[in-house]
Amino acid sequence: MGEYFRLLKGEFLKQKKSFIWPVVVLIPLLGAFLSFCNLFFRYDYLMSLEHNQGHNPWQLLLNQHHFIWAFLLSLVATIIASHVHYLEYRSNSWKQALALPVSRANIYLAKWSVVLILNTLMISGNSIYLVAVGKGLGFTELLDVNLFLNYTVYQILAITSLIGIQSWLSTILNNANVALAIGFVGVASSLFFAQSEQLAKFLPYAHMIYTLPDPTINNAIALYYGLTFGLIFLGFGIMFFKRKEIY
Amino acid sequence: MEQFVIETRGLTKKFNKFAAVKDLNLRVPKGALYGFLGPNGAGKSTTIRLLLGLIKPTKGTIHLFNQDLTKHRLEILSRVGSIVEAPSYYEHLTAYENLEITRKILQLPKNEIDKALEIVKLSKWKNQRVKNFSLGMKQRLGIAQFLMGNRELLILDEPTNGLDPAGVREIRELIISLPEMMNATVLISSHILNEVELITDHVGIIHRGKLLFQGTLAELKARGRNEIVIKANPLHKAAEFLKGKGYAVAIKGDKLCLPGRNINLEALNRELVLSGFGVYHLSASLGNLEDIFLQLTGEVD
Repeated sequence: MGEYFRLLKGEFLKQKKSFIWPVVVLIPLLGAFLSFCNLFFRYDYLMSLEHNQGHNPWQLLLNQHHFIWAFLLSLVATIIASHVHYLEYRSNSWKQALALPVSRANIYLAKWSVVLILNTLMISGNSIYLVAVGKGLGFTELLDVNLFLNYTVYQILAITSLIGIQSWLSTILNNANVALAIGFVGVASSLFFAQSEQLAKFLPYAHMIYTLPDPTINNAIALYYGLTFGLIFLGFGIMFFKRKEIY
Repeated sequence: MEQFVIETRGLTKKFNKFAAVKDLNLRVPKGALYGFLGPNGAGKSTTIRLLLGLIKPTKGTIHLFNQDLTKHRLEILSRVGSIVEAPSYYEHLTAYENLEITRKILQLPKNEIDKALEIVKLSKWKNQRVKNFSLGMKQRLGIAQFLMGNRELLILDEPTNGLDPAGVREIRELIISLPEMMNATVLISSHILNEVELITDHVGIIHRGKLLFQGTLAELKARGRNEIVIKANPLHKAAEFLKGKGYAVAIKGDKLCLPGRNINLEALNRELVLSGFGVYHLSASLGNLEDIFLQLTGEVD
């Protein structure tokens, strides 16, 4: 376990001065800003719509925000997962990293963990910014803490499948840009696949769409399939990485 | 009995049907500065990747420090420092930060970074981002990475590639000082004969994946075509005279060349002078490394 934490620290050192940090802070801010504008200008109209009538404004805020955010988060998660691996290709460092006396499984796990931690920070930041948006819009109703907690946890679990498949792809493909391109296509097509629950279950890119805590949405897809696929791809990734030949 | 830090037996690596390394029996003695010599594409880098466990052999065994690499990889790698082809570094970080990553992973004391930077003469630039470094500085930073910790075996793959003459000399002097400074064995691969001759005391020559020679530099040089070179007047008459004495003589330009190792130079000189020839040059020449290398690789071609 000590070795894993040392590698994790090493991974964070590699990200020092990297563009990833501004992205982690600014992307949730951008999402929150867009939702603020949306509700600032259209709150009365949105509340007047039949399917929104009787909704708590916090629920309305999440419902409106979710479809921008799910898409944005998935794209950025794809970029982060590719970047963490691409850094090694770009700096010609795989040879150096794998010639160190550390287990390959821990190297892979440390990289996977960095991506998950960065995404967790973004997801948490998003929830906090949304609360600020609600306060800024002057919501007088009591904040539904459970709603926001559920939303945050569902996203963290669902994103593991996307991180799993992207990390695995970045390992098997020597060109991390190809993994990035596949990720973008996956995220772009996720809205289409998400229309069918059966298809969405098996497409890691679509799991994020099912994270909105709403009675009309089957959150089990995000929770169970997200986590299961996340762990399966993590296992695949470790297995493959242990056998990978470095030229 | 001689102790070998690296010992491979029947080491073979195939990529599909192409064998990059064939039946290699490499033996690097403890404390040696071992030059692993071969033309581009000979299999040097593949061998080094095999020695570091970066790729798996198709056949054969690898023992480092008398331990099987497949069974004791982590234990062995903790005693090995390496640069494979180009040095690795994160350009957006400073020299110090680059070394800090390795230090943290290997759990080394903090002062190891400053010590290593001092040895490679980068202390002044330790807080500069690596992207602003020259190639020579990057190479020295690569070397600093494996100077941290007590590595007993250093493996350097073409460490002077792409450097200017001043950089080559700097790295060469650094490498020569390593065995004494770190009490380490050094394996350095190169396709530059002159470099190997200047740096190493042991040599292995690989060509088309096969090890053609292995031994000390002196043993390699002894395999050269020795010849006696004479400059005398009149040249052609001297050649006839020596032929009459049973020597195999060839005229090359303004000199006579007599192949062979066991010719008594003093007696030869006396014979020529007493017969009235003016001898103004007489020397025994060992074949140079280039001739020997071309002779060895030519035999395979």
